[in-house]
Amino acid sequence: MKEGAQKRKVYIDERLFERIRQGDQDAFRELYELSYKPLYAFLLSYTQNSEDAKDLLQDTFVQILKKCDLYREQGNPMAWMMKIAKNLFLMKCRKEKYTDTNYDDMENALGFDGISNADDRIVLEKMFEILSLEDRNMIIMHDISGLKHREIARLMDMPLGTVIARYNRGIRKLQKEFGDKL
Amino acid sequence: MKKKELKNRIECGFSELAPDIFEAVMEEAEIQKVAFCQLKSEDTGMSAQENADILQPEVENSELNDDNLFMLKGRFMKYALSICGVLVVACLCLFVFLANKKDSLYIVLDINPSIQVEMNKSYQVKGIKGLNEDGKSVVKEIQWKKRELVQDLMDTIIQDVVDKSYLHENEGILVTLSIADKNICYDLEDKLGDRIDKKLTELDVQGVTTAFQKVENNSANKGRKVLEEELAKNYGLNQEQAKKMSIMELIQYCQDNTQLELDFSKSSVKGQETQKDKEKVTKEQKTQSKSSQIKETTTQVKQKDSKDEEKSLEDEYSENISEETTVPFKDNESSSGGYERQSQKVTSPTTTTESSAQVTLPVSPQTPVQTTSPASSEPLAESDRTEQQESEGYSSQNTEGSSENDSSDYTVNTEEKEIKYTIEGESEYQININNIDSGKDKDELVYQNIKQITCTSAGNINILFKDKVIYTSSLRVVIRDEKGNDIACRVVKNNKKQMTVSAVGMVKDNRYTIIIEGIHREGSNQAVKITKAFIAKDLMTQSKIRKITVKDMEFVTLEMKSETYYKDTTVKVKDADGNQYDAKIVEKGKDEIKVQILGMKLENSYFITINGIKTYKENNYGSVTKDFNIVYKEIDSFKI
Repeated sequence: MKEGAQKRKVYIDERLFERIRQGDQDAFRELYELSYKPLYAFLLSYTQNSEDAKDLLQDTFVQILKKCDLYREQGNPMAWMMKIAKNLFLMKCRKEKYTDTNYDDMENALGFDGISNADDRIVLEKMFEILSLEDRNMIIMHDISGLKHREIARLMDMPLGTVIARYNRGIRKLQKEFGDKL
Repeated sequence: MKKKELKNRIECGFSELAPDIFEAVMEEAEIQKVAFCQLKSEDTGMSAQENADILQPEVENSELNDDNLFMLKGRFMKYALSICGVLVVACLCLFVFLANKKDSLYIVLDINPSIQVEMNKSYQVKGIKGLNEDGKSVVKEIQWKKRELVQDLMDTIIQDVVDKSYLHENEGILVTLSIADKNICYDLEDKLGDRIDKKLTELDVQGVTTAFQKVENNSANKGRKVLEEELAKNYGLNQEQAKKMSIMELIQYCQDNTQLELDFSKSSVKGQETQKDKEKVTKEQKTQSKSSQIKETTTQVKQKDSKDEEKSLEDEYSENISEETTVPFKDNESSSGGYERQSQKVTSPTTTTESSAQVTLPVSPQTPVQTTSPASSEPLAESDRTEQQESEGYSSQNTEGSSENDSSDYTVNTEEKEIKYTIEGESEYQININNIDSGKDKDELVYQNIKQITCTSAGNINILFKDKVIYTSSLRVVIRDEKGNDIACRVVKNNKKQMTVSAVGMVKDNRYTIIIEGIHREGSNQAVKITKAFIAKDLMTQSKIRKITVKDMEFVTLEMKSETYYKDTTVKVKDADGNQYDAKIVEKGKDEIKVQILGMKLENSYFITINGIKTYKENNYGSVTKDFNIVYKEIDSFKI
């Protein structure tokens, strides 16, 4: 195990996929435990609907299970898994023709009521309210999933500078919004 | 809030929010019969190896693969469609560009400044370009307008090059026409030639030779370079040498040493012939000086007695009479009633009178008599006559030659119906001129083959022929206004019974004369010239009057809806009873016309008609009519 890799927020051992390929259910369980939270956050950011995000999360893991033998070691399996999640979301969009909804409509759909800590809930609510999809995704991918900016740039087909700028802009907006409130 | 704290809160929030759906995933996997279904069955006794064997085909035929395939297809389709779209747009642009290019006609004027003029088929200028340094400087300084007629531009260019001393007497102008359509080519040659000659005469620059050469539309070379290359390629002239030659030298070289087809303007031809005649006369004088015998021959009135001959001539005349615009010679009452149409290709100074006149020149046995039309239908001034003779292919060689020698003279005795000619030399000519038709008969003959001329609202002229006609390669149509100026026109459609000519610059209700050359009646081989006057009645314009304002009971301002162009503009004002008022245009602007009308009264309604206006897009000038009332509000209130 590489030392640098272990410093990641979410570290997934690439050997897990080998074990899954060999039919090790525990390995899949381990993979799920490590990745389902960031993946859910990422999908929720896209769908802005907890039910849709849940469905897509389920589909993502089924696909991971199906496609695990196609996984090639590339540093961070989280980027690969997020790519699958994103593709599933895009496919769903094509099929259902997603339309933009305003925040009031989606507020209930996000399912933030289930968060016990009010401050956490407010932060998430503001995050979905004031940040654009791209800015929000940058924060989720970097801070929740533990992807490096370079990996995000590759995953999202964006220049590295844009990724960093968007991430910083998102964080600054949130900081400005809350100031000393919390 | 600190960044770290913010990140923690986001992370905590999502941790709490994310549902643990592992069981659901496994159930779904089982439904979809993915690997773990088999892994689960390991518990039921199946080996991991067997599961792995099952996994492989499952993965290969998985739904995701299909979906990915769909995605790929979708993406591919998107890209393919985008590329196709771009290609289609590019093709369209290219087509439009090429179509525009194709529509363009180019002429190159070489004096020393070489200037290229691009124009459309209506001879309206699209752009001009200097091809050398002098050309560029001329182009930079001359004032020209887009859609201006190329003849007008030619005036401006000639004026400029003469002013700047680029063009002097006895120099040459080479006009290169890159036009595929031969008819347009010939037409343009005539028009430009006439205009250049006219301008040079006006500027008193004499002896300038204007030559025309035709090149292929897609020729890479332009102007004199085409000629230089041709001379270098086919006539062994050194290209460097050709480059150093002036335009006049090039033209001269072509005439003397090559068989290249250069056409010349009328005055250039005249000039060249005069020069040749002079040379010839000088030579003749030298050779004949030793045995100068002046042979005087008296022309006498002759009457032909042979009835067969008369009949045959009559038949010939009656066959050609409907096609010929030239005047047939009608028999004198006192004569035996025959038609005689004999004349000489070599010009004799024909003198015509309205009364019956006969001219008989001694006929040379060596010189064959040709039956071409000799003179115009009406008495012409001497200069006109010479011009007409020349235009009809008559040479002035003998006349001028004889006058140089001071040994020829002729007398006309109209009372005795006898014209006497004395011509030096061995050749003897005979012209019998009998009674010339009166104007009425002449008109009937001239217009005989044209049944009807109608003018469409768009400015096309439809000519309906009585008899079926056949067009020769030298078909040429000229439309001339009453002042004698040519109107730009071209044949757009022709068939045996009808011809359509498109014109630019005609004004509604003006009288024009159309001259058609190079056609003949079906069944006849002799090409004729047809002339007919017509009034451009039905021309229309899209110009519209937006608003009329009256000032001081005298000045009426018409505000136009679009930019307006004027030519021979006139104004007519009538009241409701049809009484006409004196009116004149005092100001013509782009968007408004100011008219002064005398004698208008309050509370009367008037109709104002402006003729000779058009919009930017139109070719010809039509008229607009609008009614207006004069009501003074103050006076109305005073009455109440």
